[in-house]
Amino acid sequence: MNQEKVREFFSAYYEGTLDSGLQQTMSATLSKDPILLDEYRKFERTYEELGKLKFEVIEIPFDLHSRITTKLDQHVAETNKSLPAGWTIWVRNVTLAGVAAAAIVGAVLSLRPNTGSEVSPAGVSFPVTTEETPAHVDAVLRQGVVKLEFSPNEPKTVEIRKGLEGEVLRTVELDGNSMSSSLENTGDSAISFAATVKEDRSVTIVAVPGKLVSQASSSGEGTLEQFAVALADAYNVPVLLQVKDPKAPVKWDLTDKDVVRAATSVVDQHAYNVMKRESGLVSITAD
Amino acid sequence: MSESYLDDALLIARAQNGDRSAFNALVQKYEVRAYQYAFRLCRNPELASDIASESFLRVYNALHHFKGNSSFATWLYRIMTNCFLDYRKRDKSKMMVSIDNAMQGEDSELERDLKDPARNPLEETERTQRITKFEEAIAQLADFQQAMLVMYHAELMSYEEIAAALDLPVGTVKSRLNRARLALRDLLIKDEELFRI
Repeated sequence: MNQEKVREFFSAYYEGTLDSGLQQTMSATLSKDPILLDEYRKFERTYEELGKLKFEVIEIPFDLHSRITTKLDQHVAETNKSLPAGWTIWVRNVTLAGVAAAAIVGAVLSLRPNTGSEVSPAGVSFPVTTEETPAHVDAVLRQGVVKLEFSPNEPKTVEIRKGLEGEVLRTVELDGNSMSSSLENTGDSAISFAATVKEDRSVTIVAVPGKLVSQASSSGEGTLEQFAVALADAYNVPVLLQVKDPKAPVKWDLTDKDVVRAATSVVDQHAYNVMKRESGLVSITAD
Repeated sequence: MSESYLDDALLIARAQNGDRSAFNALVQKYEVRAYQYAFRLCRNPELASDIASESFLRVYNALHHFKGNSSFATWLYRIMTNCFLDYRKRDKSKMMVSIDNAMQGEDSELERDLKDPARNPLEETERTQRITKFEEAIAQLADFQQAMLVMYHAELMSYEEIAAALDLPVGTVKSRLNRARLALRDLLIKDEELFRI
């Protein structure tokens, strides 16, 4: 065994973890080579010195915990700087029947609707500016997360439901400040969220895909809202629907590989615009 | 009331659901260990506090990614090691071993730690010098070598735990640790008398 190889085994030899054959070979090699043996002895003493590290007494700063939690608090505060007062309440329990009137910062609500899929309107976050010019209410896809963004010019009340006819998940009072709310779907199939501005009854529907791509609804008929959900399911993209009548009936047969072409063929008759944004989100809007 | 007695998995699940008190309990459970590890790496109390704080902030931001494939402690060590390496990259000049400063004052940490009335002055000086030289030598090693030596010899982590923390094969960890010890030995040989090496 050459010297380099012997050195590679110094630690294992010291720890006694070599197999017996190799252990004997090492012992024999070291006994025949005084220089190498001297190297090993120095290695042994180094190893022993290292062993003393564990006995070192380290004084813990008395304010360590508060330093850490202060840094966390500052971080949370900075990310929520522009929220109106009262929007930093931690809410632990929300019932399906209740209306969550307070904003939740960082909290994720897991609700279990009758369909069995989980709906999580996650935390309200600080306002962001986006390359996609936000409308009064808009949806964006950012780092894989679908967010509803609100940027009213005056006080507005926005009601967010699970689907146009579903339970109210949250009522948001906007006093002119912009804010955003993450939408999360942890179920297998796509679902829709509907945000209605009470003052003008405008509706923004966002279909959020589930974990699985499904062709189950790739052909069918129903409302525009149901079509948006079918699109999200079939192409695994979030779909934003901002039209006057999301209950308008449509028929679809999604055979085209291109989601924009597929959607256009369905809504063209209504003169709606279909666009795929850079982020991947597909929007169907009336212009 | 402290919740740190609760199982890590339970605290993590609650923290992932937005329960800040559960996260604070996790912090309370691991902050001392985190600080000690950071201090052993950088030998500067202020910087060690910064590294510990920054590490927990990174944990907070990334907790939703934690799947429980490794223990929380292992994950925390990985984050802390990366944090230390980032600090080193950012500002090497701040990572000077603080022993020199500590040695100057009458009430220095190092002197306080070393005080042992049973030792005679000559032994005390030698012991102090030995610790100083030893820590200086470790500080001269490559950053990742320092981290691995501290993990193994001070934090008493196993090769497997270090491998999990650094996302390396166990064989690689063993080989790198061996080389780190050899490198340290070579540095200490210069002070043979002090270490009787």
